[in-house]
Amino acid sequence: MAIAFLLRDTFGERVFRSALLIPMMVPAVVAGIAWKMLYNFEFGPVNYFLSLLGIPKISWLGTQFFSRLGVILIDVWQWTPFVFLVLYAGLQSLPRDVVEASFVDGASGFSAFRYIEFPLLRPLLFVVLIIRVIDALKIFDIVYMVTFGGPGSSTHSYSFYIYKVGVSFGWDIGYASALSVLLLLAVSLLVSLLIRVLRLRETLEL
Amino acid sequence: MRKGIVTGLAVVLVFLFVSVACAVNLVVWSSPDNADALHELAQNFMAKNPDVQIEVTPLSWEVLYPRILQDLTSGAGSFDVTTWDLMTAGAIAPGMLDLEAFAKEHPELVDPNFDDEDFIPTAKYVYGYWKDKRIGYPFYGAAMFFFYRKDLFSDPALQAKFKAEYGRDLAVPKTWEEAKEVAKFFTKKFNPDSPTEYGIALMFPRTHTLFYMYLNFFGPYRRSPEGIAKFGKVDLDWGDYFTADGLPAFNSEEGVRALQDMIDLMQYAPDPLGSDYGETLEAFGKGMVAMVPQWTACLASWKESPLLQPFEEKVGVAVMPGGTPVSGGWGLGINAASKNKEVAFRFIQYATSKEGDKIQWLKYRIGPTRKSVVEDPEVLADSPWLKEAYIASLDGASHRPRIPEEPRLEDILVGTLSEILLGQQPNSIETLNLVADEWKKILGR
Repeated sequence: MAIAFLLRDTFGERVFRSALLIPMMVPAVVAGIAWKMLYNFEFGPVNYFLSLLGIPKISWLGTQFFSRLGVILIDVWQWTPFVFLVLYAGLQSLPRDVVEASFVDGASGFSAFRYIEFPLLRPLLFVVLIIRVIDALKIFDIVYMVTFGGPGSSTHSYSFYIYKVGVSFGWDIGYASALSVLLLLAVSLLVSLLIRVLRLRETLEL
Repeated sequence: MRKGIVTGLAVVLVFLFVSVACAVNLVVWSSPDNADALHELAQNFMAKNPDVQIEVTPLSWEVLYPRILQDLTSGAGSFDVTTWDLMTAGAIAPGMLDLEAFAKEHPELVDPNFDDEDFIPTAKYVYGYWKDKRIGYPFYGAAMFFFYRKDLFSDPALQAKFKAEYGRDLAVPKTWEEAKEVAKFFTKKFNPDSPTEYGIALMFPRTHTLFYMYLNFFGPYRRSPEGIAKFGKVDLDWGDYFTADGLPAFNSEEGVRALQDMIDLMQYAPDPLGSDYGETLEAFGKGMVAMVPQWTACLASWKESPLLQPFEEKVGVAVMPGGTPVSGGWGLGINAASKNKEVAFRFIQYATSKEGDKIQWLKYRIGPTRKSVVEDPEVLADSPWLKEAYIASLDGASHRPRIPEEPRLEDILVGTLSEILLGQQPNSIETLNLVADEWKKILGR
């Protein structure tokens, strides 16, 4: 949201907007390979740049905390453009006259955002939140390509387990299907809960 | 004039159509490490058999095995020939063509120079049979080897320093206890004068890599006279993880000690839990470590590494410490649902022939499976270490299970091993007993 807000009406907006979309267009498999190289303990650029700041090398794929953080960072990197795109479009479609009227009444830029734009964007924010929750719950490709669920069980996701049961263990499709149905139920339940908590029906006037 | 061109084109089109219709298209699935060698062998075969078109498709290990299983289960016949990993033998056997039965039915297709007795006996079984069924011919013979920096081990200054510190000569380690000392000596953190940053490169990720790496450490205990007395002889189908009675053997004092050896060595390695094949290959290739357990396929890459030149003076190959390296390798077999069995049979005979075996070693470092190739003067001139280290490694190799339940067992054990190495679970018999219980449940024992 901050990116969408900062980018609006700035010099080079079109270029930045296009550049920001690149991560979303990169296939997850390619992104996984690239990030694995970036996270390389000895030769990876991430540790190199951290070392310039005096930070010792981090085992991004060999420790519980950092492997989880590593997977989260890749997911955030890949899907921030989607969140940005939705919110940016939302921001562009807000009625300008209301915002301009607030300026006439003496509101600052921040006040206009806090009291006018943000409340107007809230429904979109909730929708994006729900989509990202669903996405995060079924994360598979990044785990498969980068950590394979490890080290230990640090980054083992439910979808990854379904894949292993369904494919790697010898095509146990029945059990894998049952697990998938459970995932569907869990996601449905969580989304219903979110809709209720966020009062999305009222907000979206459904 | 126009009539002539049209007629000419028609003739060419008819010729092309007839050629395509008459050609036999053989679909070969391969793991990436075998693909280049298979591609050249396919080219050679096509040159001798112009009516045959062979398409070699490389598929990663994680993709290849499930796809083979899917195809064999459904009987779709999407591939004619495939390389198969030795530990998948039990799972794929029902859908693979029985080559012995097929050869008996088609004696005219059997190459008189094939020389089945020339295969190294262990290789012939583990890359060829499941129970009594011949499901493939040995293609890629492999056991892990211990690669080391020959120039560092023969450096007089380093030798003197090592002797002063440890009271013995600096030599390639023969046991994991020795390996710990040598690895410590070559780690800058413990020896600031070390020419390498780390002593050893280890790959303990949460993938099938950990499943075979553990055997390099457990094997010496399992194969020792005490281990044989306690667990019984090793069955080639059940492998070293099991007792002679088919019960888990790793949930024992020996299993815990093997894990402790791995834990002890981890401090001398760059990011062992986050490293896999590529990372360790790179660490050795860039001169960061003095030793690394690896497969022979790495040699092709290291031979090109500027830091390892002159190669023969800088890189040495030895048998794994403990003397029981884990076996790997691939067989080459035919899909029972293939519509081109005759041509496929001729092709796999050529690919696994003496000629093919020699080409794949000399050009692609795909380990030989034939005794005659290991003893071939040209091969020995190229790789003098081969005869001694290779046969010793293959003969003394420890084996993973080849039973159909292997992938499930592997996943359960790898998860726990990874957690123990990470410190999430204690390294104890009790922890390993939990895995053993799950194994027994899966196996119905």
